[in-house]
Amino acid sequence: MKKLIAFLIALTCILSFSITVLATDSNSDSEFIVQESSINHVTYENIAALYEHWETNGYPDYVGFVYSTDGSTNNLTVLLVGDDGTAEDQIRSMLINDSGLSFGSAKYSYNELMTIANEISSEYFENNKLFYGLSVGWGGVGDGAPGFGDSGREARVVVEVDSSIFAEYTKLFKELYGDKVVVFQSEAFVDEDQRDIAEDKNTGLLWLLIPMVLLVGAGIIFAIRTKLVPALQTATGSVVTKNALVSRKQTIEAVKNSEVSPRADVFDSILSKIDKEDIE
Amino acid sequence: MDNESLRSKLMALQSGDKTAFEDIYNHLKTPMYTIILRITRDRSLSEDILQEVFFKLYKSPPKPPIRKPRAYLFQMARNLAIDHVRKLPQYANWDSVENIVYLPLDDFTTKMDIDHAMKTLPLLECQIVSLRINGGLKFREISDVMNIPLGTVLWRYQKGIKQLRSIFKEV
Repeated sequence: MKKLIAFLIALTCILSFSITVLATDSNSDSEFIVQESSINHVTYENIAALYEHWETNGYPDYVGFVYSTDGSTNNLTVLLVGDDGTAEDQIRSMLINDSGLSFGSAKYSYNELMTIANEISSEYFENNKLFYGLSVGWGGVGDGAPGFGDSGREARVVVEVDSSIFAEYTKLFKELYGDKVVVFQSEAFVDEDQRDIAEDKNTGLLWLLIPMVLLVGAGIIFAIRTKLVPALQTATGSVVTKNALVSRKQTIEAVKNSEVSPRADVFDSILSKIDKEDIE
Repeated sequence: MDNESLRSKLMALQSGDKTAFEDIYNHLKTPMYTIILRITRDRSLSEDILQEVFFKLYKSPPKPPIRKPRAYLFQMARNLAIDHVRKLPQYANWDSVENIVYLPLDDFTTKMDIDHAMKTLPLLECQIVSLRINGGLKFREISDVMNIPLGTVLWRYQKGIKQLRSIFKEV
């Protein structure tokens, strides 16, 4: 049971950058306060709001990873890379309320790991159907710590490949990236129909993870990510937004609503072309 | 119109049923035109391609069994659009048109809309996002249509949506 609880907590972080496509955000009315003072020093209500800002706008290089300390959205641990206290002070100064904020250390920055993940995506993932999963986060499943590094809480680039190429790519990635990349044996994604059915129900799936775990983790992440200002419709039918976070759901709806129709006479042109061809 | 209805319309089209043809056109014209437009960025060219898709469809409707008719038709449209883009002189020397990122034409500080935001995505991601959201295809179908691994489709879709969110936030 303890392992399961630890694993649930771990999942909240894995979900933050899983390649698995998660469901759309829920429509929470809660808003994170963002204030800008006269000296242009942006402050956030709490660490959850700052986390959301980082997720949307990118992480500073001194951040290695962020995870939920206790499975809740209020208590987050920020792992810092090579910090002598400066970065910690800086983060605290950005928060109106720093309760629930904890710190730890990480060997690699999240940005560095993301760069490697992108590289692996373009150079290997896209050319090899035996690559099944790619994420930046925790990957430990089963016994032991959920994450990596001395603390067992750091993130790494987690690659999941078919067993037939596991040895080959474990060796290759170790040579190329050292311990920044961890390779696991995996299996192909679940049956497409089941996955798409699940998607339609706004659940999404993680490879190798049980649905219950997914729902718990997804709920936590969505609670953090759900925000804020509704998209606005322009006269041209396009969507603009105010200077505020837009939820994943709103983004998808905006793309859907931006569809453009062809001119009305296009179909007549097609019929004319068909008739002309038939005559000839 | 689900795949089953679309399949029966295509069967009717086999015997030259123009009503079925018009039904298919009315059902697919908007998402298909949108996807083509996001690849070509040219309205006139996109209408030409749309005409070409439906002209070909009428003249040579797919023969049964048609497992995934919707994916089949979007693949036709997507392939024709990519072919046209490849023929454009400005992209003649590109190894892969999928890497094209169209530059936005207007001032981001005064106006941001989906079209502009979509232009900031690499064409590969733009297609995946559009095929998924506008075309309504399953990720596995997109993987087949574009002939890229499912993992890549999921990864790029996630990246694309995240980038769009990020852009909207900036405005």
